[in-house]
Amino acid sequence: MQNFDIPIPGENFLSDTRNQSWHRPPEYDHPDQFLKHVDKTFKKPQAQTGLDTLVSSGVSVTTMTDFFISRSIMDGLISIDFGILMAGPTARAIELMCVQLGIDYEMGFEDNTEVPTKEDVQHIADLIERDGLVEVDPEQEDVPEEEEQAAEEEMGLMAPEADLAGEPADEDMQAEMLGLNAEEGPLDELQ
Amino acid sequence: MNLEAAIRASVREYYTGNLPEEFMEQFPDMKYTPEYFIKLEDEIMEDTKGDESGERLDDELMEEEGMVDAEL
Repeated sequence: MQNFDIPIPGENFLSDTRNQSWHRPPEYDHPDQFLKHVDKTFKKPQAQTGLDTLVSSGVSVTTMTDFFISRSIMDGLISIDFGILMAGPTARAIELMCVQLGIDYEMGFEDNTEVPTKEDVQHIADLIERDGLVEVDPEQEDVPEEEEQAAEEEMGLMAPEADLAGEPADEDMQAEMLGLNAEEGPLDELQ
Repeated sequence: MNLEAAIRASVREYYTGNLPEEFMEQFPDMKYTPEYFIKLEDEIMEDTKGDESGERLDDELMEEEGMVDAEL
């Protein structure tokens, strides 16, 4: 069946795009104005807490700069070109903020995160299919939630819980559940 | 090159002292120059006496790659 969940031809002409930030002149067009904004933003206690948390957990100053510049571009504060120009001074300002706050930081000039491409994933899948390179332990294999749910539904409402399924409890456990070997104090204490 | 890569490259170039050629000509009245940041860093180090200030953890990596702070 054809998928009807697609834009109607000409639908783009129906939306009002005048308020989108990239259709307006940027708010800041001078480095000093933008760097004052950076300074003002990172002097807020919430921003300082966020900076401390992120940088302490290994997010580099360069990545923080990337977040901040991208956000500023999206909010229409600066243009894309100006954002690229301002990346260096912004990183320096964030770095000095870390120095002042006593946060140990990494500059992270090299992007070490390797994101596997579709081709990489396909290549690995082909290798597995051909050679069976990866052996999955059946006990550790993740069971999809849907299958787990289906298995539970098959057992019915009155079926024992998953933890209790299998062998019956031993005698001591059964006695404890029936309250036969429970140690109760004298009734006088309760009165 | 996407925006993220461009921002990373821009930061890296700034720290190696390579500013765009006509950047300072375009903004001759700019206050927050690299020299300003160097002075500010010195002031912060004096105020915090160096002990409480944050330290750069990947400094050794930068020295190996020949990266230095922008000194203009």
